[in-house]
Amino acid sequence: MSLAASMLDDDALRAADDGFELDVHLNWYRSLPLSSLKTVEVTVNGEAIDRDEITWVVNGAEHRLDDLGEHWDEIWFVLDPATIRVPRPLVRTGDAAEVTVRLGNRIPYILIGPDQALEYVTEKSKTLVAR
Amino acid sequence: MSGFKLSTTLFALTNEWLSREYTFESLVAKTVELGFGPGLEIVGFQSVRGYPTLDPEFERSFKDLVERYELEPSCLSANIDMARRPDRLMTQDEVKESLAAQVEFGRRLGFPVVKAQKIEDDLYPWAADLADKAGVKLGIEIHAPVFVEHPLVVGLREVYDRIDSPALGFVPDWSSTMTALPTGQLRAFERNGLTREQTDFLRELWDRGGAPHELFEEFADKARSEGATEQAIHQVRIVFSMFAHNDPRGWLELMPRVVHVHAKFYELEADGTDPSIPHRELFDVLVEGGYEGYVSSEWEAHAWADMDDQDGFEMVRRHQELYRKLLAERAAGTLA
Repeated sequence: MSLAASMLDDDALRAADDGFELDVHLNWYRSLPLSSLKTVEVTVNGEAIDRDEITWVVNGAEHRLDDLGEHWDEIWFVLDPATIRVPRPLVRTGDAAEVTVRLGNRIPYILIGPDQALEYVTEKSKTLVAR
Repeated sequence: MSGFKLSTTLFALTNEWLSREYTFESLVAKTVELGFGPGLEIVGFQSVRGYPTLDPEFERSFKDLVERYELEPSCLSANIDMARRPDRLMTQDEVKESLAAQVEFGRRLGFPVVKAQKIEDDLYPWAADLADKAGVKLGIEIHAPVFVEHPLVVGLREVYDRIDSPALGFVPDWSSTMTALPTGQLRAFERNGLTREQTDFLRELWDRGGAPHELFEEFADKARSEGATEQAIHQVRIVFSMFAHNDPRGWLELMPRVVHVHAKFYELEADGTDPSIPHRELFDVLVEGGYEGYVSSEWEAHAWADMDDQDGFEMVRRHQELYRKLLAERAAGTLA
């Protein structure tokens, strides 16, 4: 396990009625406010998903990515997966898919400029069989 | 005879924790089984769900673990998430609220020290009072890229001298006094798009030293001209914030106010050799400085190394073995 290695579990991908879901783990060593999440990029079998197509499920609630900034007082616990939900049927149960996820989190206590936090970006690719 | 004690920080076991193969209890139990400690340090935002709110059940189980294994809470590692909001930094009132909650968490679990990053100078009288009332010491971490002579640290030392409260102190982190960039970090950069020649150049820049921002720009210009991607270049920023090159003896100036130590390391061999951290010189500084707190074995190569390649427990074991050997030599009066 490393920060990158732990991002995608073998059973991370699920086909859903209208699309698919992908569980991801945090790419940092500690829990972070939901507002830290800045970059989320997903490709499935080489097909890129638009940012607007993605919703983010964490702590039992579903958010548009652009709304996460408002949730600075809520924590994504480091051991809990979050779920990326995409309403596009790109995977079918039992099929293997090549999935790439790129996560970038602003690290809120590491400032690299007067008002600028370090963004820590991790990319992970993995072949996953959809459940 | 030096009076400092060894401590585990669960941060060194980040990979093991993230593997989700351990509970908090079983992770701590394994450190005890391997003979680590007696000190125990945790990063609040890493180890505890709901932190800094203290769940009564966690409080009970933590105190039970401490009693059962005769552990000594050494340091609660706090974080002030200054940039938690995308639109602005925390206000002073928000900083106070955040720090107060974490000091209270530390107090209730019996941590003698709460480590935090630097806060604004005019908050220290308030912070001294907060820590004093809680019966803890507030330790501001001195971590790369800064060191004792950095204006930020010099300014902080003046503030401390003015307030002169025993509740305020420093937590030196050995990342400020390294002798080389960790090789594992350079190899990780190569896996992410840099060439060996580029990481060699990075090593040269780091050895030469200078203002972190200028060194980064010099590296970025060269790598960019050679066709490196922005992503490959960006990852290198961390080099100039996480690793610094200074004389370990510089720490002696701070020693009277040191309340906890982060003995950072990356690549300690089983025979006690280490290309990037001068353990023996640092040990001597602690002894010469009359340090009497805890020294946490803070292995951090998990930032790039997989658990399958490097076992965090084994790295902490090596570190504590080395320090115990040095302590024993010291006690026997055999150290030159």
